[in-house]
Parts: sequence; C-alpha cells; structure tokens
Amino acid sequence: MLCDKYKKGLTEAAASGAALSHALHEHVQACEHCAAMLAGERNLFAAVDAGLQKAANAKVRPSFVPNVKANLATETVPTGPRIPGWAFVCATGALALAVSFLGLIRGAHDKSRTEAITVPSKVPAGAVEGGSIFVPERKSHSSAKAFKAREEQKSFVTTTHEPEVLIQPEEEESLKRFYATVSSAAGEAKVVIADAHEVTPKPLVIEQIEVTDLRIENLDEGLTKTGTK
Amino acid sequence: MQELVLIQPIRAAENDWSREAAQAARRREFEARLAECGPLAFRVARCVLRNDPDAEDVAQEALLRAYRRFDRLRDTQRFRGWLVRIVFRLALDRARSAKRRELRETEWAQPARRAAPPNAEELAASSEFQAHFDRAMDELPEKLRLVLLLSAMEGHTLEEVAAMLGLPIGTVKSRLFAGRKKLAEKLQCYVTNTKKA
Repeated sequence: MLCDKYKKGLTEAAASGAALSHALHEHVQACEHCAAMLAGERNLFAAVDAGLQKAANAKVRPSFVPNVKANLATETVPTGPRIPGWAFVCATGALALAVSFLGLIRGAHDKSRTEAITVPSKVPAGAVEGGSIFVPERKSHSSAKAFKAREEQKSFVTTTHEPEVLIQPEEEESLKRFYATVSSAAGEAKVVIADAHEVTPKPLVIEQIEVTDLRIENLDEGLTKTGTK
Repeated sequence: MQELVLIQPIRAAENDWSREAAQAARRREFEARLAECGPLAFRVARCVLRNDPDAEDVAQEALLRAYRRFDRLRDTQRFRGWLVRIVFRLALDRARSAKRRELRETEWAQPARRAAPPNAEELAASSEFQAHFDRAMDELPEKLRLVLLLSAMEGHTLEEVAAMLGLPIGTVKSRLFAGRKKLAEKLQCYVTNTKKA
C-alpha cells in the first residue's frame, strides 16, 4: 500500500517531535488516514510525556530535607587513615601471586621429592637381617635409575606418611628422636644411614668333626674293624 | 619521657580539634548539597517505587550513604550524578524485594485478594492510564528508564542529564528516543482499546 512507506516516517516524526519532511507533509495533506494516524501518534507521545512529567516531578514534603539533616547530625563518619580501594586490590593481587608462586615451587619440589624417595617394595633380605633400613610405606613406582642413585647415596627422605622401620634395639632411641624432628619440621628431613650395618650372608663353616671308636661290623660274618680319623 | 607525657595530650587535643573541624566543614558542605539535591533524590526514588514513604526512606538512606562516602568523591561537581546513581540502585533493590514480598503474600493470601475486586469508580480513566504507564515503565530497561526520568525531572536539559550520568550527549538522545518509543508502543494497545470502547 502507498501509505505503508510513510508510516515509519510519521511515527519517527511524532516520536522525535521534529517537523515533517516535505514529502511527508504533502502526503499527510493528501491522505486523511495518515493524517489521523499522525495525530494519534502525536497524542500518544504527548500522553507519554505527560505521564513522565507527572511521575518524575512528585511533590517533596517540606519536612524531608530537615529530617535528613537531623539524621546527618547523629551520623558518625569513621575518621583516621583510610586505606583506598586500589590498595586492597593491589594487596590481594600480590598475595594471590605469592601464593601461586609458592605453590609452583612446592609443586616442583614435591615432584622431585617423589622421584627421590620412592622405595621398591622388594627389599633385599640380607640388608634387613643385619642392619637397619627405612622402608617408607609408599606405592612403588620409581624408575630403576632413581633407585640406583638412592642406593648409592644411602639417603632417604621421609615423608608425612607413617614409616615402617626395622631397626636394631640400640638405635631405637635415636630413631624416635629423628622421627619426632621429622614430624615437627613440616614433614621434610633427610637422613643418611651408615654403611656399617650392612651385613652380607656368610657361607656355612663347619667346625672339624672328631669321630672316636668307629667300628664297622659285619653282622653276618662276625668280623670287626676299628679305625680312627 | 616526662616531656613526652606532657606534650602528647596537647597534640592529641590538636588532632581531635582539627578532625572535628574537618568533619564540621564537610558536614556544612554536604548540607549545602543536600538542600540542592535532596528533592532530586526523593524524586528519583519516587519514580521507581511510586510510593512516598518508601521513596523518602530510600532517598534518606542514599543520602546518608553518600554522606559517609563524601570524602571519596574527588570531583564534587559530579555529586548530582553520583547521588542519582546511588538512589536509583537502592530504589531498584527495594522495588525488587517488595515485588518478591508481594508475590509471596499473593501466593499465601490469594482468596482474600480475590474477595475484594476493584469497583468501577476506582478504575477512573486517568488512574487506569497511570497504571498502564507505570507498568510500561517497569518493563523498560534500566538505562532507558533513568534517562527518561531524569530528562523529565526538574526541567533538566539533555546536557545536564548527560553530565549527571557521565554519558555522551548522543547516547542520551538515542536512549531518550528509544525509551519514549518503547513506552508509546506499550501504551498503544491501551489507547487503541480505549478508543474502541
């Protein structure tokens, strides 16, 4: 329809309150329908504006401002050095950075420590029999290389896990002290075990056997022989 | 040590005195702004809440909050915009919580509310339009609503609204235009129905 192309322009003109363009003006002069529509739109926007004016300009009670003033008198504003908001933000950021940095360091350290302390579940029987050895209760998943290095150093790092220890009676006291230190010192300590306790299994040596009065008898013939070794 | 003991109270008294003097100066400055902007705060709250006691309550709360933070306002020329934003935010919060409360009460007291339907006299044409208008305003986005209300309030010019809200004047113009258009669209049905009736 011919009027449709003017409809939007008429609505815009009514909304903005601007004067009609020449083409619109001519059309409105000629078309009664569009003229009525424009009038309706202008009325609508006038009603909107009136509603806005009414809503926005409510009457203020004369006692309102004095009431607020009276409340201000009782209001106490905290004085003293105020820490600005940006300082809080900076402090929080710095703290977060520090925590994450520590976490990274600790993470890397934990990783290397895990490599170092894992102990195979199979401990040589001879080593346990004669000396003392720490066998931390851990899942064994270390590499052979790590284990070899550990064997060479004879050093073990205890962890926060409860260790299982086989030890000689005279070393019990020192071990207790060591364990107490480990428990109190953030769960990390190093101990070096002396080589002196390593005992290798000795071959069986039989003392000289002395046999006296060896007699061999032939029961059938009644013959006897006597000899000494 | 003795000297310190003698001098310290005087210094403390001086500090107290200067602090009190600063507080008094600040209060005077704020009171001057309160006289100028107090009605504006009330009107902004009233536009959102459409209820005088609630609007006074919220405006007062906003003004006290502004007073407490008055030191933090670096540019005192922006006090009006700052206050308007505080009031508008507080009023919206209050309106939302009131709406939730109303919804709860409606759920619990449904029969009682149904028992008292409004009569014909109460639905006078102007108040009916106002009710439609209020509903349409509630449905508008906040940013459009605030621009519409401020531009209709106390004869503010577009430049003043732009300065208050810290917006470019072009944005204020486009928001004003969009807001009026949306309002008109929402009220169109009501006007059409009224004409038909």
